[in-house]
Amino acid sequence: MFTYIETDSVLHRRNPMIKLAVIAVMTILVCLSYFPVFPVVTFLMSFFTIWLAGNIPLANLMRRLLIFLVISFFFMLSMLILRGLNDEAGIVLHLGILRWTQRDLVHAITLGFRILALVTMSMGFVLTTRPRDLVLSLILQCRVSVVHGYAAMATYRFLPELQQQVDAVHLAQEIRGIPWNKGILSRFTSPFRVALPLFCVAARRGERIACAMESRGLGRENERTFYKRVKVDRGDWIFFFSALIIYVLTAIILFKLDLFGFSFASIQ
Amino acid sequence: MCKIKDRKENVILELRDVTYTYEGERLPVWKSLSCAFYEGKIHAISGPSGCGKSSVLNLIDGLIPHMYEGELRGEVLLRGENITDMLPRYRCEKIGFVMQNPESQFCTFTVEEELAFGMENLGISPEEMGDRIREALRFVGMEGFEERDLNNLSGGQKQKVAIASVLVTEPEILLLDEPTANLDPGSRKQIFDLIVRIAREQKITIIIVEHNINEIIEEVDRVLVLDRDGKLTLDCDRGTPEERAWRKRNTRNIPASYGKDSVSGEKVVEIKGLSFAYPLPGKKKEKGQPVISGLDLDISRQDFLAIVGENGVGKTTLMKLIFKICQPDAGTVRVLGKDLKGWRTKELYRQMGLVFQNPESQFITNTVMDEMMFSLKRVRIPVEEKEARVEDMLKRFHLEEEKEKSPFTLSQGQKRRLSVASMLLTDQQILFLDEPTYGQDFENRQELMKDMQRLVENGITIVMITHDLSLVRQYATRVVELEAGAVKKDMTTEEYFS
Repeated sequence: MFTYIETDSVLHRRNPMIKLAVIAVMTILVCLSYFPVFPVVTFLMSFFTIWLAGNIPLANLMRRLLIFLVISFFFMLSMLILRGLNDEAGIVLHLGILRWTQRDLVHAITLGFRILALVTMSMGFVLTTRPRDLVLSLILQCRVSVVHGYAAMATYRFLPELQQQVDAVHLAQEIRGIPWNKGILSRFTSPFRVALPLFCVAARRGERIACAMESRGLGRENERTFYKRVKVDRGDWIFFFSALIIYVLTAIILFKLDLFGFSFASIQ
Repeated sequence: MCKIKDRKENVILELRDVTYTYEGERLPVWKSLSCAFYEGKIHAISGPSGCGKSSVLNLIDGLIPHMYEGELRGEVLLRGENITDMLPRYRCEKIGFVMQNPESQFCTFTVEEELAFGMENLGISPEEMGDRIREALRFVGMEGFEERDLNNLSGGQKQKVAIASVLVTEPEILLLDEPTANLDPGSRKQIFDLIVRIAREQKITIIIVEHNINEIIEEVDRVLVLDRDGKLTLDCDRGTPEERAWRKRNTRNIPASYGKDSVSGEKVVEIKGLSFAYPLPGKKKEKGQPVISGLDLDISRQDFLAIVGENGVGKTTLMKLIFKICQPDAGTVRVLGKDLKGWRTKELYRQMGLVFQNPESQFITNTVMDEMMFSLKRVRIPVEEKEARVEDMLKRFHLEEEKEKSPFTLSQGQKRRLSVASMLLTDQQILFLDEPTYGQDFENRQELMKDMQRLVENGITIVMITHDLSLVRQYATRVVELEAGAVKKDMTTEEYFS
């Protein structure tokens, strides 16, 4: 779901730190908005940018986002049900025993789309950022130590293997007669049963990779060179400023149209 | 034994009076170990389990004592210079280390990045790195693989990349810890050929710990053998009378057909026209390329059957189909005369056991005793009888001293024995072993296989899926080779190796 897709695109060529900076600004602004229009616009802008500027096939992107669309929908639904049980004045919609004020509806839709917008942005970052570029960018632009940078990369490498290990534990325990995720009790206890074997595997793996890195010279006190460097070029700055200008302008226009509020207090 | 002093001029590396005790251990791995390694030669280190073969490599590389803590006495000399206190990161210009499992030494994502990693740490210029990467990939026969994702390579290709990633730093000594473990026969031959070329063409000194030593022995220049106590019992050139005598003692023949007299011919597993393909990612209804394709196979009672074949031919998938983990697209599987569809999984697993590559995957309790008792949880017999059965099984697998220990703290050999013992408690008639040699040293492998031989003699059918042909040759009575999801060869071990 959250794995890098190898292709060439405008987003793929951008420096990871620049992309992260844009996402940080967008995250702050979208979290400040208490009207649903801005989160919806943010979600749509992110989606189309990843699809078109990230060169990610539409079907692929939709498939990856599907689960989060479902989660956001259920989140909105549960919020509406909980808020629908109140007895406040100014009801604008009712369904059976559920009654909603305008504020309830705005609140639920805003939070649902805010989740979706944040997930879409994060997914766009992962899909278009090579892990090595991220590590190099952390080392070269953010001055993170080489040892810590490569330790992070080793951890990232282990993540897909983690799923294979979970599958192996699942199979092994099923053959020993323990049903996996069948019944409420099993669903509750299965994470605990898998934790210790996984912890053992991860600890052993960590020790081996630390030895491998050490024996290949990581941490030497000499000038380390880089086969390929990740730089911040003119294209990155153009991307950064144009993304910010477009996004901030959108926020200002929505603010002028009274569709960007800083609190729910203004909603009747 | 050859005298080190006689050939002093060629010595590149020397261990002098080395004694090392791992932290928390009482006894040293080796006591006053002294030996020398000669420039441009291939050295093979052999010996039984726990004798400290791999520890010798760790010592030379500096992981002992700098990463694996413990008490070290003695000296390691590289061209006469004492490097005992030098950290591994400062030895890597001279000494390269290829670990057993390439996966565990990869630090990056692509072939090119992996090869560059060591050179970047040494501060080599990007232009020179590019040249060395191309040259190393050409040398290992992987030109054009620069951009390839490491996860998408075969086992043999991964090992070649691991070797190439060390070669690019141009070491004088190359350490190889069981470099062909877990590889299929074709890949194993390629790696051995590569090692020989490295020594002969690049004049790099090779020190190899290898359990399939017979496959490379003709190319080895010197043999060092450690005994159980870590004492050097043989240190001489290949072809000397001592070495020939040692080799003769260690050559094993194709197994006698033990248990064959009592073979009833009764078929315990019958597979006909079996086909299976995994669904395409994200599309449950659409199937990909078939992994198993029209496979026919019969397994008889008391067979000691080895299923072999290259990576990805469908060995593990076949096992999943037999265990009802996957449902076949076509064909039938009958177990003990009954169609697989008619078996309830719980009942089926009482008849068939599976020992996994990684035994820890199947552990779920906190003590060895509980682990064994868990296997009998659903068996309706009195607790006293369960305990007696467990005690008996622990004794059989030499685990009675460990019954209060956590399964996770046992040694690799003990873990494997526990996983087998727990699988046999409900009188399983068929036992599947998935890569039983994975993570096991030579002696543990031998011990486990001897246990399996005894089980066959007692009427149990053993099916092992493995790449380890020396193990197959030594213990299996029948070999089935798979190719493209179907049976390519099905014959006795003798016929297979003739």
